[in-house]
Order: sequence, then structure tokens, then C-alpha cells
Amino acid sequence: MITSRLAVIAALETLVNKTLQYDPVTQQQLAHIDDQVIRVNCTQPEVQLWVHISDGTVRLLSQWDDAVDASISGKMTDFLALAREKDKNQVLMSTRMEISGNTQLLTRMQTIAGSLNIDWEAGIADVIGDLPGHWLATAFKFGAVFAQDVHKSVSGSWNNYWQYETDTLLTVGTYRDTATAISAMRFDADRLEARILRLQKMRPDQS
Amino acid sequence: MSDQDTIDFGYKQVPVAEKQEKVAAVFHSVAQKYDIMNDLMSAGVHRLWKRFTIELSGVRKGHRVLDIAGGTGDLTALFSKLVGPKGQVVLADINASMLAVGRDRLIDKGAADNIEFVQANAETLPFPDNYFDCITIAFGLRNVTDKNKALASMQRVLKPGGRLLVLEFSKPQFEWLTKVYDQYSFKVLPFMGKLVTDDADSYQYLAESIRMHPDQETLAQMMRDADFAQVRFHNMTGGIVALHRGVKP
Repeated sequence: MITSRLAVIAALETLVNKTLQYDPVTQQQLAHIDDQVIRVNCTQPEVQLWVHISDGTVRLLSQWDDAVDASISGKMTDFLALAREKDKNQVLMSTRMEISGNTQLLTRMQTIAGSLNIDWEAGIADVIGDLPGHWLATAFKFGAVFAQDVHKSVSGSWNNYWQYETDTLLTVGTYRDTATAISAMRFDADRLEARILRLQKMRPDQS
Repeated sequence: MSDQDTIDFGYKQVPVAEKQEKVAAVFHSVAQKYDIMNDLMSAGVHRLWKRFTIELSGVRKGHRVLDIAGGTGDLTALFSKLVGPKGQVVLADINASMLAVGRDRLIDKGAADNIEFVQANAETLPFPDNYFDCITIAFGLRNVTDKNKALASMQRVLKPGGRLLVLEFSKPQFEWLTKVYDQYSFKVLPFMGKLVTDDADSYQYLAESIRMHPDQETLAQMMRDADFAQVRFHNMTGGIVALHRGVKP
């Protein structure tokens, strides 16, 4: 179990450091954070990971028995939101994430993560060559822009459709009021009919 | 333990005075192909076992680390980066051939600034008392003639609060794994050794010496007897390898 976990973490660490090579600015910023250990504690599912930053490289550790410089704890969904959203402070305040230790360190890490700008094209080109790399990166960029446009267009149309449809649909409150009014009207009509019948019986020519 | 007594050398019993010489002969023979054989025999998994050793070491910048039986310097190279220019790593090995291979490799990597190379016997470490923050011995303790004496020597040179990490082959935790592992050790390993280093006997010795090495609990007790505190061990790959950790009180 330890061995397989170590293999996954080792692969992840290699991926992180290889990726960082394509963002020299972030690497420079990381180089200013020297010999610091951050504990990342995911409560759902339960996973713990320690991040050691030293000399501009990131070490991921499955175990760390000593004191840490800072700690961040939360659910996986919170961490995903933190990674996805631009306003990290908002995520930290709106979720139940807990931070402790050197919060300045976490703030710096947050700023660095927020300004990540990885040159994916260079990375792809290093693997498959300059020209195919450029084509693939252009295709990805085009695909991403197209997907964003489609998403924007579909979500806009959906909102319009939904707004239009909701205008023609009854709300629960309106339905309840209408049903009560109809019921009251039915009783009133029954009462009126009974009164008319009674009055008809009272007429001398009918007796 | 006197020189007249006998001690195990693999499955054989040899006079105490001869074991060191015989172990030295094994490592002289395999030194040049040691790394490639490690990768072949463990399918590269030995790197993960060593990675875990580094994780548990808790080594930070400025620390002083002793890598006993450091051989070709795998752990030393990693520690060298961690301790930085203000720290120090001592690569110690009793075997001159292994030490030479390690030294050449580390110099070639340009990683020798904060590394010192010392030919030393683990039983009589030539360092002052309370000197190191961390001591590691990876796949070396089973070759030491007097393990208790070696553990006592390590305890002496370790600073109070310093850690000893013993990475060593151990006893598999599952019956089925023991059977598979036995077949692998006694059939495949000597064959690989013959093929790569033209030396099947050294790898036969490797398999035998692993079987003669104390199991997890016994080694943990030996460490407690040598005055190490907070002794605990982690089994890896089903107990084929165990990492023992102890702290000098």
C-alpha cells in the first residue's frame, strides 16, 4: 500500500516540477520560498499530503513527522473550488476550509497559484516536436475558444428559454390561490343554487 | 563476540574475523553493476523505498546526515540537495570499490560540494559523539558482522533527538508472497546476477543473507536495546522491505 501510494506521489511530483519548468516566473517566485513545509489535509475523502518547497522545486511527501510551517484543511470539493475560482479569498471565506500556521506563506502560495501561466505549447512541442506541437496547441486553443463560445451561447439561450417558460407556468402560490378561489366559488354557486330552488318552491303558482 | 566465534555468511557459518572479508569480496565483485542490478532486481521499486526513507528522515537545510553503507550514493545525492550548502552529508562505506563508484557518480553529477566520503566500519564509526542529525543505513545492516555493536556506534554519533533509519530486506507478511519471493530470490536472482555481472554466487549470498537477517520485530527490539526511543517500522511491498525508525533520546 505504501509503495503504490509513493509511486503515485512520485509521478505527481515529477509532473508538477516538469510543468513548472514551462512557467519560469512561477519558478522564480517559488525560489523565494525556501525550505517550507505545508500540510494539505483533505477531509473528504481522507487524504494527507505534505508539500515541501525548496530551491524552486516542489517535493510531495506522503509522510512528515515533524512540525509544518503551514496547514490547510478542507473537503476535496473545497480544494477544487479553490483551484478553479479566480477569487481565492472568496472561496476560503465561503467554504469551511481551515488554515493554520504561517498564513503569510499560504497567501503567497495562493498568489503564485493565481498567477500560474504555463506555456503548454512549449511543453507539447518538447514532446512531439515544434511544428506538430504548434498545430496541436493551436487546435487546443481553437477548441477551448469554441467550447467557451458554445457554453456561453447555450447558457444564454437556456436562461432566455427558462425565463420565457416560467412566465407561462403557474407558480405554486398562484395555483394555491386560484384553487382556493375556485373552491370558494363552487361553494358559493351551490349555495346560490339552493337558495334559488328554495325561492322557486315559495312562489304561489308553483305550490 | 570474539574472532574465534562463528557467524552466518548467508547460510554458511564462518569465523567472525572472515565475514568482513567475504562480504567485501561480494561487493568488490558487483560494485560496477550494482545500480543496474538494483533496478533490475526490484524493477525500480528500490527508488520508492529510498524515497520513503528520505520522507521519514525529516532532513532540512543545514542538517548533518550520515549515509552508512551508502554504496553508490543514491540516498547521499538526495540528502545533498535537501541539506543545502550549509549542511553536510557523509557517505560512508566499508567497501573501497563501492565508495569509489559512489564518489565518481556524485562528482559526475556535480553534487559533491557538501558531501564527504569516508571509508568506515559501521561498528566503529570515526565521528565525534552527538554529531549527526540523521543516520541512514540502506540495505547495509545485514552485511555488518556485529549488528548490535553497529547500532550502538550509530547511537553514539547521533545527536539527541536525531533519527536512525534502517532500510533493509525483511520478512514478507503473507504466506503466498513468501513462496513467490523464495522462488524469485533463489532461482531468478542468481540467474540475473550471472547474466549481468557474471557472478551468480554474490546474488545467492544476497538471497541467503536476507533470510538470515532479523525480522521486523527482532530488529525493532535490537534498536530499543541500543537505547533508541520511539522505535517503529513500516513494511513496504508486503514486508519484503521494512523501514525501521528510532530516535536518540
